[in-house]
Parts: sequence; structure tokens; C-alpha cells
Amino acid sequence: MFTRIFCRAFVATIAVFGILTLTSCSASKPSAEITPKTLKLVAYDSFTPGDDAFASFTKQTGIAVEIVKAGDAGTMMSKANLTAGNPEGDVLWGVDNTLISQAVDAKTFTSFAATATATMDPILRANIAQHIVTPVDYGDVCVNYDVAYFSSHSLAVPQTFDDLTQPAYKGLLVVENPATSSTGLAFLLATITAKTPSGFEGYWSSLKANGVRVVDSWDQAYYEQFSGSTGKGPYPLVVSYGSSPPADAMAITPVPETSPTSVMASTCFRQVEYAGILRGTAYPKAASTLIEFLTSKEFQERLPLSLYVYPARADAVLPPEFVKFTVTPPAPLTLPPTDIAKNRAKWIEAFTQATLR
Amino acid sequence: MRRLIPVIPATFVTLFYIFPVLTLFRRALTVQAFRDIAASEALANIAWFTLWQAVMSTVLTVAIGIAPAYVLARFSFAGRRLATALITVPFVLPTVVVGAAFSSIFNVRDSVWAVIGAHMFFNLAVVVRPLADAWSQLPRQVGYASQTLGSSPIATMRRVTIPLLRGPLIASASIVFLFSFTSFGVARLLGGPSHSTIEVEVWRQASQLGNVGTGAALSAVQLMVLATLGWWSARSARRYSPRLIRSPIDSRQPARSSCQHAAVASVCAGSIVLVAVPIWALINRSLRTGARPLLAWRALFGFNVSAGVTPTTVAAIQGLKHALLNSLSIAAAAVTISLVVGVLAAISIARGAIVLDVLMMAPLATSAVSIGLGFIISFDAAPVDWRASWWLIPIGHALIGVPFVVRGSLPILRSIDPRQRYAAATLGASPLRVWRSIDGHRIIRPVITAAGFVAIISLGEFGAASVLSRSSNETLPIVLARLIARPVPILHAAGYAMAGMLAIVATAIVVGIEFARPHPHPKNKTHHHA
Repeated sequence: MFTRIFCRAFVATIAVFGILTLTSCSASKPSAEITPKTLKLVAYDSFTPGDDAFASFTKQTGIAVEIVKAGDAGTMMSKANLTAGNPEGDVLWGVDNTLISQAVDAKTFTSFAATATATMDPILRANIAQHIVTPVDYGDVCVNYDVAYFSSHSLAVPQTFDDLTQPAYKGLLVVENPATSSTGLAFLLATITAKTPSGFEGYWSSLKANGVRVVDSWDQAYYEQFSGSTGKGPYPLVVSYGSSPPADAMAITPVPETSPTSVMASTCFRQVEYAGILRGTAYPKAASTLIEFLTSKEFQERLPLSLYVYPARADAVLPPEFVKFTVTPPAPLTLPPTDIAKNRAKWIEAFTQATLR
Repeated sequence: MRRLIPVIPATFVTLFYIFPVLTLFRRALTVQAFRDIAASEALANIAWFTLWQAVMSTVLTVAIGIAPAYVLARFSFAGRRLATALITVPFVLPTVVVGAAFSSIFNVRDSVWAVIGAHMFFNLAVVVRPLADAWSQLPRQVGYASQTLGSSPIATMRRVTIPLLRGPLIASASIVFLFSFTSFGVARLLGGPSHSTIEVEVWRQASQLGNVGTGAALSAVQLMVLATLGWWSARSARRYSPRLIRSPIDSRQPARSSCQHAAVASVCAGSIVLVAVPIWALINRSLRTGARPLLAWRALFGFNVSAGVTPTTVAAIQGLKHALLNSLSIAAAAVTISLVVGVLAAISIARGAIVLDVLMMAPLATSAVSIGLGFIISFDAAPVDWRASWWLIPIGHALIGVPFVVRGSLPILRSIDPRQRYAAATLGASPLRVWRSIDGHRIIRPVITAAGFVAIISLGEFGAASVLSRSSNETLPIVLARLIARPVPILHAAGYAMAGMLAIVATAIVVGIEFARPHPHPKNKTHHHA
């Protein structure tokens, strides 16, 4: 008896769905765009620009901004690519140069040339064709060190990738697994850029021989293993952000003269984040005004202290405390997004072979 | 009317489980994806590790669970119900946060044994509680008879007691195996980079590498393995459950020998340690804010902490309260849905709807990431454009909660002698009245317990909810996980402070449920046998 009822319920549900889906597909979209009451901005979980960040946008345009949190950056992009053409929002914030290539292949975005692009360092837009997305911020992933450890042990701070394989620094470095951490991936890419795609495996083998520790996530590395954080772990060298020193310094009361942590500038890999209009939005015009706002001087100047990143606009003024504690790498490392997308799985597997097996 | 009962759970599981998962499989599964996973040595290692650690976790959890179950079932002592409640607490603690606190304090990462140990810790109650319940209903006389006939205590255990308890043993071992096999938070956190489970790999492939096809294929493989187990377990549970001889009287006695006193004392002490250590670990981490250890707590309770803390940081901490309220309303919705669907499903299953039994368990065996992605691509167009709706999250939690309601009420419904219903009907009761007085009356207790569990699971759920996009309706575990990952010590500490409070509240709820339940064995003054 039950099986029959269940089959009926199943068939009925599927049938109702089929019909409704078909009819909804044939419904045509209105040709002239009306101004929406609300725009949905899809962003990663740690997007926290502050409560009043969009107040002036709403005042100027009459459009409210609803932030749709979509998980970590990787999850957000998997979902955005899976729903390309029928997106979960109108604009997306935070696809980075390690993830953009797949989004281009999946046709997740529609092009829009933001006015502010002219004020940005062209390197931020390198390899991004036809304004498919707009740079909004950038930051660096670098080896950070515990200043007190090196001064109290009278040990010179390592300067280069090769220094990290020297016996003097044996067992001092903790890194994140690139398979599970975007920070770890950025550092793996840094070693590939510095040591070439054919030489980085050998480099990681020597790092392993020199006692590198691999952990799953940034917070484990920074808060549990790194000696310079509140966790007081055993490792004085950690892969973290270029903005970790200002974040650390500003957390101390009273704010000290110098930060307890600093970065090895030669190891920095540049992460650029972009925003784009999601293809399939009903409001492409309104969405483009939101992109203009995200690249406006007002919004860009919020970024350093709320997201700990550099604004993409060159004319945005940085807060003095941010500048004071930040080391700007003279020549940050970078790789073309297409290379990253093509080789990422292979490189991660090679890393896993070299260090974990 | 009667025939409509199975329709509600059947529609629920079709619409919110079968439809989204099939949509995902249809979109993403390819023969090539299966070929790729079959050819990959790395994935073979992951599959082998998943199976191996799940078997080890199950065997060890059952092994350490038998002794406390025996003590709780056979001895009456002050604090017995409190000990039962405390043993349950680890099961409802938020795995991710507790795991993080533990591993940082004991520094036991990247090891298989940390993973297995955590599975034992979180799943101990799954073995102890049902086993103790069943054991306490087993008349002592059965054991005495065996010993009178010349068996040693060990032989009695092996030949009489264990076979009689086979039903609950198989059922709880299957659940421990299921939870260990699909382990996500624990495996990701404690296993380290070289020990990944299939569930973690599905997440990594689908959400981190963008290989939704590989993720879906792995998810399908996992589902097939666990469906086989579920089918076997449901069949065995049905075969063994009626054989249990239920004792109408409380067979518990006070401890007599010093050995028995020691057993009771160690169970009591052990249950306290199980709860106190994780709470201590969370509080300990919440105090790590440098020179001012109470900073995070002060910020959480809205005191002025201006010096050295940016307004954004304070706002992020205040956001925790919003998330808590949000999680509470989601939990309330999840409980309501689970109870309606679960009780109707249990009634249908008790009347023979076996298919529904396996189907209702299936969401537990399916990777949460797959269900979440399925939701997003299935409910994306009118008339089911629901993917941004807040209630998809409680629906997702209810998918996990329903099996608990079903498992809790089904054995009771099955054990009711149908002649009682006939008698009531003969005496003139309407079908609804018969159900209310005979069935409803008995399942109220397990249903209340299950409701408490669903509420706490919903408050701590991390998998499916993390895949669904949300605007203002973030759940507490997600906010916690994010705070812990922020490069600001006070946020980090505030996350642990909130988790510590959550653990204390969870403990209070579990203890409350235990004491609110009527005593399972009302003192029966008129023994007819002895």
C-alpha cells in the first residue's frame, strides 16, 4: 500500500515541478529595465565593510544594498559558476586572481568598464580581458615573522626563499595546505613563481627536509602554531598576510611604536580581488552603478581598516596607522590566472607528494 | 485519512531531498567523473582511510560504551540521571569549535588517533544511551537462569546478554559508523592535510577546486556504501527488536561490592570529565586576549572596550547576538518541521512503509555540501525560487533531525501490542482517540527527547547551512567559525567565548530534558512474578 502511495506522491511532485519549470522558462523578461528597490551583492563570509557602508549609495540612487553571504571565496565562486546565467544576486564582490579564470570559462559575469579603472595601477587588470570584472582591492600573502624571537635568539631574519631551507632556520616555518586554504595556495604560487614550475617541487622537498610544518587553515597556522600571535605557538615563521602586522599592532593597548610581527617582503604573492556584474541579473544598469560605487573613493577608503586590504584606486588615502605598520613589497610575485586555473590541481598534487606523503 | 499519513513525509523527502540531489547528479555526474575517481590513487587512499577510520571508531566507541551502559542500566545511585545526561553532552557540542579548542590546547593534530578519539568522544552517547535503555529492560532473571544452569558470568554475557542486546547494539554501531564515515568538521580539523575523508574531499572538490562533477561522483559513491549499510541495519533492527523481553519493573539495584562501587564512581567521574574538559578548553581560549583576559567577554556583553578595538570589531562581536537569535528561530522551525514529518513517518513505517525508513535516513548519509548545492540549483526558478529563503536552512536541519525523531519513536510504536488498539476501538473510541490514548501517550516522551536533540543539532549545524547563501540570516556556528578565522585576537577570543556559552547552554538543555522526562520505570508495587 505504502509503495503505491509513495510512487504517486513522487510522480505527482515531479510532474508538478516539470510543468511549473517549463511554464516559467517560457515567460519572457521585460525589455526595459526598471530601477530596483534592492540590489543583491554576493560576497564571501568575511566581507564586513561596516553597517553604514552603503548608506550614501542608497541616498544617491534610492536603491538599497542587500549583502548575500555565500561562504568562503572558493565556495562562493563554485556556486556562482554553477548558477551562471541565473545568479543568486546582481553583483559579486571578491573573486580573486586564483579563481577568476574558471569564472571566465563559466561565463559567470557580464563586462562593464568602470570609470575608476583609469585611476588604478594597470598591473591589477593584467590578464583580465574586456573588463569582465573590475579590480576592487589587493593584498599580499607573505612569510611573517615574530620580531621578538629573532632578536632574542640573535638570529638574522631570513631574507629570501633560499634562506628558508638553511639549517639555521630548521623547524621554524609553518605553512597552510594549499589544498584547503587560499592563503596556502597563494604561497604555493609564490614558490612556483620564484622557483619556476619545474623547480618548485625540489624547493618544497628541501623545505620538508628543513622541517616545514603544514597545517589545514590560516587560523590554525597563525593562532596556534605561530609564536608571534596570542597563541604563542612554537613556530616564529608563518605564512600570513602583508596586513597581519598592522592588525596585530592595532590590537595591542596602547598601540606600540613598532608591530610585534613583520613580513619577509621578498616572499609576497599578490592577491587581487575583483567585483563583477553577474550575468543574468534583471538590473544590469543598476548593477553597474553599484560597481561604480564599490570603486568610488569613499568606499575604497573604508577597505584598509575593515577588510585589511589595499584599495585598488591609487588615489584612495590610506589611514596613517595602516601605513605605519605595513611593509610594502617592492616587487610582489604574481602569475597569470589562466596558468593558475590550468595547473592548480596538478601543482597541489605535486605539493602533496613533496611534503605530505 | 489514514492513507494520507505517509503522503506528508513522502512529499517532504521527495521535494527537499530526492529532487535536489537528483538535480545535482543529473547536472554534474558524468561517466568520466567516475572513471577519474576510479583511476586516482589519491582518491583511493581517501576512500580507504575513510572506511578504515570509521570501522576503528565504531569498534572502539562500542567497546568503551558497554561498561558505562551496564553501570547505568544495572545500578541505582544518586546522580545516575545526571551522569546519563552528561554523557550525552559531547554529542551535541559544536564539533568545529570544540575540536579547534581541544587540538590547540593538547596539540594533537594531524593524527589518525586524534580523529578516532574525537569520534569516540562525540559519539559515546550514541552507544551508551540506547544500550543502557535496552539493558535496563532486560530482566535480571535471564542472567540468573543462565548462571544457575552453570554458565560463568563471561559465558552468560557472551551467550545470553549480548545476543539479547544485539538489536540496539547493531543500531547504535551503525549510527556511529555513519557519523564517523561522513565525518567533516573533525576530519578536516584534526586529521590534518594527509588524512581526509570522502565527505571532506567532496567539499574540497566541489567548493574549493570547482570540480562539482568529481564531488558529485564521490558523494554518489558514499551514498551507495551507506545505503547498503542502512538497508542491512534497518533489516537487522526489525529482526531483533521484537525479541527483547521487556521487564515491567526497574531492575536496577544499589551497588554492593567495592568493585561495583568503584564502577559507579568511575562512571560518575568520567561523565563529569567529558563535559568539564571541553567547556574549560573553550573558556581558556576565550581568555587569550593579551594583558586584558576578559576583553572578549566584556565586548560580548556590551561593555565599553574602546581602547585598541575598532568600531568594526565591536560590531562584529555584537553580530554574534543577532546570529544567536537567528539560530534560535531556525532551531524552533527545524524542531517543528522535524516533529511533524518525523512522527508521521514513524507511524507510516510502523505500519509497514519500509522504503520510507531508508529514505528518511538517507540525508544523514549524503554529503551536506551536495544537499546544499542541490538546493541552490534546484530551487532557482519560479515557482520554486526558494534558494534565498531563510526557511531552507531549517528544512536542511530537519532533514538531519527527522531520522532522530523516527529512531526515537519507532521502537515504541513497534512494541505496542495491536490488541490494545483493538480493545480501545471495541470500547467505542474513534481512530484518532485510539491513536492519542494508545500510541500518542507513549511516544510523547521519546518525541520530547528527540525535539531537544533536533534543537541542539540545529544550533550547531555547520555543513548544509554553510553552502546556502544568506543575507541577514547567518547561523551561529557559521559566525563562530568566521570569527575564529579572523586576524584579530579579540574576535578570535569572542568566538570561543560565545562557543563556551553555547556549550554551557547545551549542557543545561540536555540535563533539563533528562530530568523533565518522566521516570522510565514507574515504581511498580504489584509484582506478579519474582
